[in-house]
Amino acid sequence: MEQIFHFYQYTIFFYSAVITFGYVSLAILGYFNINNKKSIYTEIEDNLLNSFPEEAPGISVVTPAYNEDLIIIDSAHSLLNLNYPNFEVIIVNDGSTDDTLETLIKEFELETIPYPYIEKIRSQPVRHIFKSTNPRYSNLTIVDKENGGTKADAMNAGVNIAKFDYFINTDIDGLLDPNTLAKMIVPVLDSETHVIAVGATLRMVNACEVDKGSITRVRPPNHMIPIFQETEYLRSYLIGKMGWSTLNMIPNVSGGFGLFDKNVVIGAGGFDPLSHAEDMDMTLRMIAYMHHSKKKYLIRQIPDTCCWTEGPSNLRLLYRQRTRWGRGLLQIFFVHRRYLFNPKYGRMGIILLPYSLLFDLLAPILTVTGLFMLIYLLLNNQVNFETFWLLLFFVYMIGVSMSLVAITSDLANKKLYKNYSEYGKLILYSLFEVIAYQPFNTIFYVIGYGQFLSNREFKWTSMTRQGYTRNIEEESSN
Amino acid sequence: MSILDYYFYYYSSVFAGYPIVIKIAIFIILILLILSLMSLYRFFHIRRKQLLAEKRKIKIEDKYKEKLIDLLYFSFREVNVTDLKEGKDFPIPRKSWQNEMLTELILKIKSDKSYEMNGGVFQNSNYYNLMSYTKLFDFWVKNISSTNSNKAIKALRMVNEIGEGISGSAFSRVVHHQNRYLRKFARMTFSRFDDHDPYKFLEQGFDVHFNKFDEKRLHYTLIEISKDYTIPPLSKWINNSKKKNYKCFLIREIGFFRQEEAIPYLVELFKTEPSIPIQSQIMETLGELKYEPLINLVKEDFRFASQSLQASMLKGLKRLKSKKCLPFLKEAYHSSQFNENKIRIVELLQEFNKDGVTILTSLSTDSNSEFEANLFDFALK
Repeated sequence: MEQIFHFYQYTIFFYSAVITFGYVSLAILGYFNINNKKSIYTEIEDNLLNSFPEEAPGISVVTPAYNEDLIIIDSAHSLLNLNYPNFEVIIVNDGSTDDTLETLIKEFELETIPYPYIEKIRSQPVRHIFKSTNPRYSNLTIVDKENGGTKADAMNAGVNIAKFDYFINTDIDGLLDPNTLAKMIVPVLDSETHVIAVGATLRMVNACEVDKGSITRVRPPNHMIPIFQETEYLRSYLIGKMGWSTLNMIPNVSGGFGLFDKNVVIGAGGFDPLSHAEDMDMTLRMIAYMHHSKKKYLIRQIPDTCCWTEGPSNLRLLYRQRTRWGRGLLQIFFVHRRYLFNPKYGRMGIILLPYSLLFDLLAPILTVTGLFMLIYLLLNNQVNFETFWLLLFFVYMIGVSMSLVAITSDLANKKLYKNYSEYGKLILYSLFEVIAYQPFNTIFYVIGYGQFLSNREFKWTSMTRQGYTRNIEEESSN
Repeated sequence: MSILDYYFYYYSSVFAGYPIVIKIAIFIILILLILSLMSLYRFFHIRRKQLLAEKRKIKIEDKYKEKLIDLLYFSFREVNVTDLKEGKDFPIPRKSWQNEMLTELILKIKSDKSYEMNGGVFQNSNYYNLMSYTKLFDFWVKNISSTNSNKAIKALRMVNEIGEGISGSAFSRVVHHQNRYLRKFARMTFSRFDDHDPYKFLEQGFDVHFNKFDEKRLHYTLIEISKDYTIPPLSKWINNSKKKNYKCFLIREIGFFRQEEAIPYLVELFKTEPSIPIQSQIMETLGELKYEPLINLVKEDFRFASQSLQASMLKGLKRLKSKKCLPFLKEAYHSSQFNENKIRIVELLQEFNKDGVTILTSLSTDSNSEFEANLFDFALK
């Protein structure tokens, strides 16, 4: 028994050492990538497309809505006010049971049109398609469909109707930066290799000031959980994804906000309605599709914050969000197990997925197991406290150092908060994140794995909202 | 012995008896601590830099803004370099940051249309005299040759924004730079400003890494050139390039600059060129050039064309907008096996008002699927 414990302890130690090596490497790659992007893409490059509307490639913004009566108008106006010369907005009403559709019809003077719908990827039946009679909203299309139970199903209906080659996948509660579309399409244009998707940074809208669907003042959240999540997002996007991006190994273009090549999405079969992590599932299948087609591809990430979304403000909502992510992650490895360690899928098969298996999927399990082992050793008085504190400090420093790197990179990229003290707030909270946030995260992930293994069914639910027109610090689960 | 060696041996002796795990842990902790401290230092350094920049910006604005507005919009007379020198209202910036911020301020005032709304008129000659007197243009031209790529890119951006003539020799160092972004940007700027041989790179296929974003920028550059000179026949450069996307770009620009003399060449190229993207672009350009016999070309090949080529043929016909294509469109609707192209044909027919509606009505009587029924309901509503 003692030998097993010893083996386990050594394994965990070297596991943590390798994780640290991985994080530090990604941080270095991310640092250079951000600096490079900052130097070559400025407002002048973004404005070039606005100055020549005929040169701007069209982009469809597709967003599903389910029982979003309270925020739908502000969100739709926010999307329609994007600063780009050639785009359409497609809102998919996924069989809402509240007044979402009626509110839209009234606000935007909609009427049904006999649209020649082509079902290139499967979704639940489309009931009606609405266009506005008011020329001001000529680029707005509302798709009313039967409820499919998942965001993926609603996205597929939206993609079927999208008329442009690239589309933005975003949530209805996400507020987009007005210059988002130009920022997202420039990396697609500025590449010889086919760019199949582009990701950007997401952060919390919770304490930001919002006026008529536009953010007028960016602030870090006021509540503890969204603040932790803000830093977590910065780490994920500015270190993880910016780092992976230099190696063309981004595992997941966020479902909260991302630009996708419509034809590749359709070729890969569209979003999977049965997936709990439809964004990662879609990204992996797009990569697999490109490998099957023997075509070169790129997935790009930009450091700019393009989308603000509501973060869970209490443990109950965090539980809902993280168990879903946990279910999704485990499902990915079940569904796509044939990609794993398979050289046919290039870097995805031999580096990206094995890395994700070891350091994303297994990490929560090893942490929870380690916690039980620690309790056992404490009870049996077998803990060497001289080394215990050292190793605990080691683990603590991984989180703190990465948070500091991410927050600084964010400031270096663009100062979004008005005061530096607000960045200081993020730094201060990041000192407690390992103790006050990560344990819950880990446990919720493990519960999510359990839920997936017990085959429970989950559908996307409506979110409790208060609307954007006042300061919000509210509930959300996605 | 260096200080690093000293500490290395010192700590090696301190932890000499400890197990490897502890040594590795301490090593990693040290790295993470250094990383954290570096990040904190970077945070405060960025903060200091940003605050300093804000302070400097205010300083420059206080010193120059009002006088600049007056000179550039409300002086209503030419103020030459001698007048500027004698007036002493515009001290020549000495430091790099002063040059950068003054340029940004001048460009900001130049692009602000509110002064014109308030009765001002932008004085172009004063603007160039000011640039010359303050030596701002020289400052940026010098920076183009900087060994720091980021600095050179910024300088090119500024030179483009300022928009003044510049000799090609200023770019000699960067037009063959290994940083492809910098190199392409330099070539673009060279094409815009060089007086002696501006089309040098356009003639040579521009760059092996030419992409869609370069297309947008080169399009802008050609528009800027065309304000002063006639653009030479672009068709002569098509064969020089091996890159399909560059060829497509040139064909598209032929349409934009209405170079009708290139039509016979394009028609010939369409018949011999195997590349679908190039064929597609030719179809669209011929439509743009209002080449009526395009209908016959399309008629010959439509049935056997791929979906994307069919789409481009229809786009070409849309740009041509000739009633002569109506009988063909009716025929094309039946022969196209792609629903998306059927939608395009119907949309195109809608543009011909009454004549189009007649054909749509006749087509609708043959519709035999829900898709087609919806399509014609949509078109005829």
